[in-house]
Amino acid sequence: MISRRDALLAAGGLAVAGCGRLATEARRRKPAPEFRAKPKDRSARIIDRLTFGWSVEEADRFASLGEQEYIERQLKADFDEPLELTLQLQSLDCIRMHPFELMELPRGRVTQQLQSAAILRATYSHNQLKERLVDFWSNHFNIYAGKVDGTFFKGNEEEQIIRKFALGNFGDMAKAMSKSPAMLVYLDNNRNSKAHPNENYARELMELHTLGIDGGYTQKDIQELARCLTGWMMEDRSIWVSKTLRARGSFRFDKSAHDDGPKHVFGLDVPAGGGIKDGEMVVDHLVRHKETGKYLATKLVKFFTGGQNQELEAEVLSQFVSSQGEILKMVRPILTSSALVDGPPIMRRPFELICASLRVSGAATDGGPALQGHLRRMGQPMYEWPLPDGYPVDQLSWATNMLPRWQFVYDLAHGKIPNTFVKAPNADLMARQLATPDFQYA
Amino acid sequence: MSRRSALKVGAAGLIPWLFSGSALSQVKLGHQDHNLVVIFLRGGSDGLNMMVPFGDDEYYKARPSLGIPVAKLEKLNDYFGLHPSLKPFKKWYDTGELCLTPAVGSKDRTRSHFEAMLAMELGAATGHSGTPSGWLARYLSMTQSEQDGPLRSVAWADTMPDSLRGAPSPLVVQSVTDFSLKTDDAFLKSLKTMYKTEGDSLVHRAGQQTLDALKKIEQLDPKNYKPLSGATYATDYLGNGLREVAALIKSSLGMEIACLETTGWDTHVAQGSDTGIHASNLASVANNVDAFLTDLGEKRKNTTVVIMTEFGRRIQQNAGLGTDHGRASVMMVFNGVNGGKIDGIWPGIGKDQVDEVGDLKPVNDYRDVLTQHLSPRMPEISKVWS
Repeated sequence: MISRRDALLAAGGLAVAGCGRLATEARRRKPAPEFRAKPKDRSARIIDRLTFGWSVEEADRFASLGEQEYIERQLKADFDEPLELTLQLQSLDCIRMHPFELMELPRGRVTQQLQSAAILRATYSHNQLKERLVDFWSNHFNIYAGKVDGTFFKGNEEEQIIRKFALGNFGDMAKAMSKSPAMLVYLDNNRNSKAHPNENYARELMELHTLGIDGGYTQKDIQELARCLTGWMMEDRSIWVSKTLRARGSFRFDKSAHDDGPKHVFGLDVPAGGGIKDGEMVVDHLVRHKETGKYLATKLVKFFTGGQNQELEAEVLSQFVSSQGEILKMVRPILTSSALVDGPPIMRRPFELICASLRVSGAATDGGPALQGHLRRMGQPMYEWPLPDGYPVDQLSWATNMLPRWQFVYDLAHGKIPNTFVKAPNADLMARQLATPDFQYA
Repeated sequence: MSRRSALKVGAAGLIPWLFSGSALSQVKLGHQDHNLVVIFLRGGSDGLNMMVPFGDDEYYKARPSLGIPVAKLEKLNDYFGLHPSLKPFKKWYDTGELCLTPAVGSKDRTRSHFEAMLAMELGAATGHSGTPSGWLARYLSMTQSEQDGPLRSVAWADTMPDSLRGAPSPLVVQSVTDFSLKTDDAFLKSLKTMYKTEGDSLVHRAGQQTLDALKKIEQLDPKNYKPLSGATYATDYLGNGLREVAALIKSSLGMEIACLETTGWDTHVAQGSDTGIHASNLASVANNVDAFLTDLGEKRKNTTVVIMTEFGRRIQQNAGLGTDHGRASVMMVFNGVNGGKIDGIWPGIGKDQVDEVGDLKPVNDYRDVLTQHLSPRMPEISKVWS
């Protein structure tokens, strides 16, 4: 028997899924992009690094605005989004629904929708730099969709925190993240109590989210931070608290589970009786710390240039310090650096290869299961990296079996991927072009 | 018979007999007919839940809800017992093929998964030693020869494991059964032109390696592989992987080193006792490795299987009925040395025996344990550590 809710969901789902299909269809009917070979110049390199891959359309946008203005607009992320993208995203429940409502849907479908959204945005958004940073921060604050109910929470977390602050303030993002129910559940802080502290979240908060492994903290600091964070958890009921409704799935501080004794964390004295302020005070200290700036500078430089560069990292660090963690200001100097413009090419990771191929070929896609299957076989199904450090960035990790890449570009060019369409007058030529060693690099 | 297999027979059989004692016996022709299979349990598997120290009351005091009653354990002696899920290993222990070493770890003190895994996979004291390549990669480089085929080292994983970082030509696959290209001949031909005749970039090398492996694996028919009777693999990731390892070993296509990995060992919450998350993870390992050893038949004697993990867990259970990161865990080696024995030093879990955080001390360095087990058949192994 089908319940009323199921019926409604089914009806709603059908209607909006139709909408998503229409958007794919609209894209499909667009004329094929004029063929133009990617030039080997500064503009092509900058586009390849700021975006998910060079395309004729992107090159035109760059040319009409000029380099400086193009980069500033990407940093502001104020380009209008294409209507088709908006329609396609609106058809996805994982974006529109509250996590606990999403739980009515099968897990697998929700994960599929999350992956569709990631592919669609990375491929079609005009605010490409923002999308690249969303990918960066989503991995920096990685949670595994397959653990507990992660998949139901990830979409919400990405909308409310990662997308909101991707080019905003790092401290704001990290502080919001420390109260993100999805993160607290993923790293077991739900079970962190005075009687028995659980170190998992405290450890990764210092090691992966803020200071980095070289940040100079000790095992004792981890244990003390865990004490500060006792009682930080997810509300598992919808409940009235002093005349306001605290929804199931929101952040909750459980005073009875909190260790209210004095603590000493990473050079900071936390006096007794602070309650929720203990954790807030330490997180605030960590997100501003110079070691955090250093760690982020190293990661951002590596993400955009593929390597290390002390001078550039120092510049990013000084921006971190002077702007108190404004991501836009930290990223700006990297984008026109000679490390990015003149440095060696970077091997595209599978997600990047897929998006770059779709972009350069002007493909229409729903980003659906058929395409996701290719991504999975290449080893990068989005939101399914089980460990908290996110998918690796270094190239060696991905210089593995090339068959899934070749199969993907062949299938794409020959129209063998259901719900993904390209206009290829010469499919063999397109397949060969996308399979070249050159195209594997950005 | 291919040139390679002729050489292998020679190396294993004829040469030592003919030239025993002469200078020629020092000449290495290809690699010994030996396979190494390394299974890495990512996340830090709780060693105290694998080899349970039931003979010490401290164990039951520290694990009031996680502790496993003696009656449910597979007793190894009057102090240690195997977790009930590891029951299939008891027979290999009894037949003298399994050696168990407790309290194994690295010098890493961060208790970070990533640092501890890096230490062990790079073959270094800590993850921060600056070593750029993996321990297996250095072994493969040191013993490289012209006879090496494209399948000498194969990993079953999504990304390159750090132990193979920098290896001459590692192959990383999700599955050998799916290792095929469904395109047309013209496309394949152009791939060969693009990847085999131009350039020497990272991508070129990966492409060349892939094409070479493709040619080899065509000779294998993994879909129709029939394990020996009595060997039943699970259809999980590890079971599928080990089944393919067995097929490759038996096919003599030149595979020497296989790396596999499983996740789900980071049991901070609801670890379980004789049943639960950790128990079912252990059961997958035990049943699949048992099937693998059975399936290998006579090849088993020439196959060393290592099961390792980056660290163990805190002795004291936490409030979530789980355990936090510790420093030492168990290493299990099949067909190494000292089979049928519990090896190494046991530092104890008493209050005065544990480290300052309350963890079992990693008194048995993982590098020493590996050297001991592998050097009889991989003599260069003692030189790979940094």
